[in-house]
Amino acid sequence: MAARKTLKIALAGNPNSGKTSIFNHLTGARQKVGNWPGVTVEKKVGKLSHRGYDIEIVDLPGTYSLTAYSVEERAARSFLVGERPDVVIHVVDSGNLARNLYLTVQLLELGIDLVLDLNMWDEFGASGSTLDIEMLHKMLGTPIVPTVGHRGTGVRELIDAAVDLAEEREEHHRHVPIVYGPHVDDVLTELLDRIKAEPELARGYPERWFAIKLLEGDPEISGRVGGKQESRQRLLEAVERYRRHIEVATGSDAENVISEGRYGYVEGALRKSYREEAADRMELSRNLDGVFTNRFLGYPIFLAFVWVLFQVTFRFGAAPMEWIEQFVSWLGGTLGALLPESLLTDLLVDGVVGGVGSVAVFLPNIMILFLGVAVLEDTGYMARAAFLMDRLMHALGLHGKSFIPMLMGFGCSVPAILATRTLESQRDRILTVLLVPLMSCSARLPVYLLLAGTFFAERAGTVIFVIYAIGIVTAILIGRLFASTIFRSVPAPFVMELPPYRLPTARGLLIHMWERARVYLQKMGGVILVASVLLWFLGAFPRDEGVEAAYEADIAALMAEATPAAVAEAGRLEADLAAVQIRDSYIGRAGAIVRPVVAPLGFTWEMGVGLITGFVAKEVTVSTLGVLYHVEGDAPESGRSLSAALRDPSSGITPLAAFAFMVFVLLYTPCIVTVIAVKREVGAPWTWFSVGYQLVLAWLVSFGIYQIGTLIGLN
Amino acid sequence: MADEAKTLPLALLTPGDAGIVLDVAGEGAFRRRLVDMGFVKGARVRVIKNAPLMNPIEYCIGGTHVTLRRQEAMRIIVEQIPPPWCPKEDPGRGWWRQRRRLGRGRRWQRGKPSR
Repeated sequence: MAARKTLKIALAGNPNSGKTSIFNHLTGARQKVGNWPGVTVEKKVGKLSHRGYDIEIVDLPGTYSLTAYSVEERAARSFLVGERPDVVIHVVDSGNLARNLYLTVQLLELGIDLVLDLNMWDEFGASGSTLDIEMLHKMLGTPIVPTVGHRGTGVRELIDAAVDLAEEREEHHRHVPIVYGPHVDDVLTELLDRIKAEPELARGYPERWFAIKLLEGDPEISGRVGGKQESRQRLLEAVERYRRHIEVATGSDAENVISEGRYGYVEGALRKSYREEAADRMELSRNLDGVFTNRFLGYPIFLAFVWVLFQVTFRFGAAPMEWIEQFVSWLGGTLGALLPESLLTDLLVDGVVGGVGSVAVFLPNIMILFLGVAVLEDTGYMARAAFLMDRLMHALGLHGKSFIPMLMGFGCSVPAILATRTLESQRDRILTVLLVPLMSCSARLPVYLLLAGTFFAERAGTVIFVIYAIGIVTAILIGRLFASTIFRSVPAPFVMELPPYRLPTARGLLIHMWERARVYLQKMGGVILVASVLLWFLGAFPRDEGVEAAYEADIAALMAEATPAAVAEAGRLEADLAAVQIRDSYIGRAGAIVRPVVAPLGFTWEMGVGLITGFVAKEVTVSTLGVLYHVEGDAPESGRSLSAALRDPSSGITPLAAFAFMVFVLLYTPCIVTVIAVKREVGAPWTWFSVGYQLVLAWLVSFGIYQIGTLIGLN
Repeated sequence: MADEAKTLPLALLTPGDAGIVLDVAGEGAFRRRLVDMGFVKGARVRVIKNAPLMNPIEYCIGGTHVTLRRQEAMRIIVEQIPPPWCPKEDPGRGWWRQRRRLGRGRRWQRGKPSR
């Protein structure tokens, strides 16, 4: 078994061509999901054995073209050019041959061995149109295999054809030169001669493709011309001349003429082989659209779907979440009881178990949410939702599809940020990721409940509503600001396909969901573990053994007395000890450092520490305040006494400061898991930007509220 | 004037209208994307419907349905042609006709060797 032959096959195709279902049928669950180098576009790799070959299948991002204008296209292109797969399978939606074959032509330009997969062949048959496959094969020179992706029909023949092609290229395959019309062809031949005379100019790229890209004025390729300085100069000058020549001769620029040439070539190939029965699309799709994008029914139906998605995610998710929570606390408790009392035990129980628990707890939510999102995507409804919402979202400089992540943000920022994957353009994705945390997530609610309940008593509901509203208004303003400044240079046309409605397969949905869950556990889990251990360390160190021992001794002595008064005193001392420990820890010291920063907002140093520990999770802010204000036991259970402690004038918190604090909690970084999610989706620089702008924004707004409030005498 | 073909931006057509693309104004990524979706000279396009808030707009081009914002559709110049060229909504097509076509179309699949 030592010398098994290996093959590398790439899957290319338009979005909505059924590429994913072909990939799933080829590889089953043996998939690895990662990112393409340098970009956050998802890369899926699967393995299979066939006829004695170990075949690696790479799923290229779905693209309509192979230009250098989008990250997806660049990723696909650099893989095809750089890694030269043995065979490329191009998955084509048979119902939309002209536009799909446009990509085929671009793949042929690359001179790679291509198998054309006519997918959704059942629908094509039902449409009444006919295609002479033999003729099309002659015209394009590639093997052609019809398949039905969601049922797996023809997938075997497809992989057979690919292996055949890899084994005996000559017989099945001939490279048909594409003609672009007289003006381009002449110039192309000349340019090609120049390049062939000095092959180092093309730097190993396929020469004809290289020449075409130069004529198109492709920004990436134009910068890649090799060879000596002067010959490079000469070539680029010649290219400029040729481009002008095409422009003068045709009255249109070279890039346009070449694309038209490609469409012309496709049209020519189809004219001889294809008869269109001009059926537009399935009856069912049209009728469904009549309801789902109806002028009156569209929005209510959309809101109903979203409501259901929200409810299912956070309500059905609540029970398993609780089980996980209980399991984690049981595990922590058991470990704490079993192991001897030591720093290591503390680390294990509070740092490791607590940290991993905080991640695992979101898993049910994530899985349910992504199942729901997969259903919306795979049925084709998501595109309709974007169609409905685009007018509103465009006002904040966003894409229609951004609506779902923004809304999920009210539940939890983490799944919401992961849900931005459905956005195609990098710009929209980044902008949405930046804005999602401004939607007040459910973890922030305990803070509002505590403070609003304490300081605004009967008006608490109104105050909390105002906080949520501030979040939304801020998102609108910030969205508009970013869209008109940082993201202004990138125009993102709303060219989106509305695919026909389809019934999703259970297999496809489950694979979809499982992928997400796995990515979440792997990527988040590791980093979170490190982060929570680090935070534990900062909260536990440095330790003053002497003070601790003195307290312990006093507590032990009081417990020994066993009178009610002594036990109460012991409890008070224990709370004291906890407060002293956290005050003297690195986090506590950081609190002292941030004090001058938060003082203008009317915050006490305890509140400053609460904000720092709030990075872990917003609920922690509440428990930190509990510890620092000497409340016995865990804060949530004794919320009443914490309320009392906060309301006491000695706490130094005014209602105005409490309100400013709530706004700060609303606007600054939600939690460390969110930060990791942001980093995963948009990379480190944007993560720093995200954290930075939120801190600045939170500070400025809270400062404004507190200072203006003080000025007009609200304090 | 009456016989002359009407040339206007795509955005000014109303649902049900059809046109032939004459030119796509604009530069770089924007035009590229439209060309990739099939908006090239000579392509036939039909207006399907407006979104409830009148923007974006759904078009049918080369067998697919795509959406464009109004301001984007302003940059596509078309020559209006008599509708409908997507004769889908022709009321003469009953379910029985569709059935018949289905049967004819399937011949292709039978012709292919199955696994």
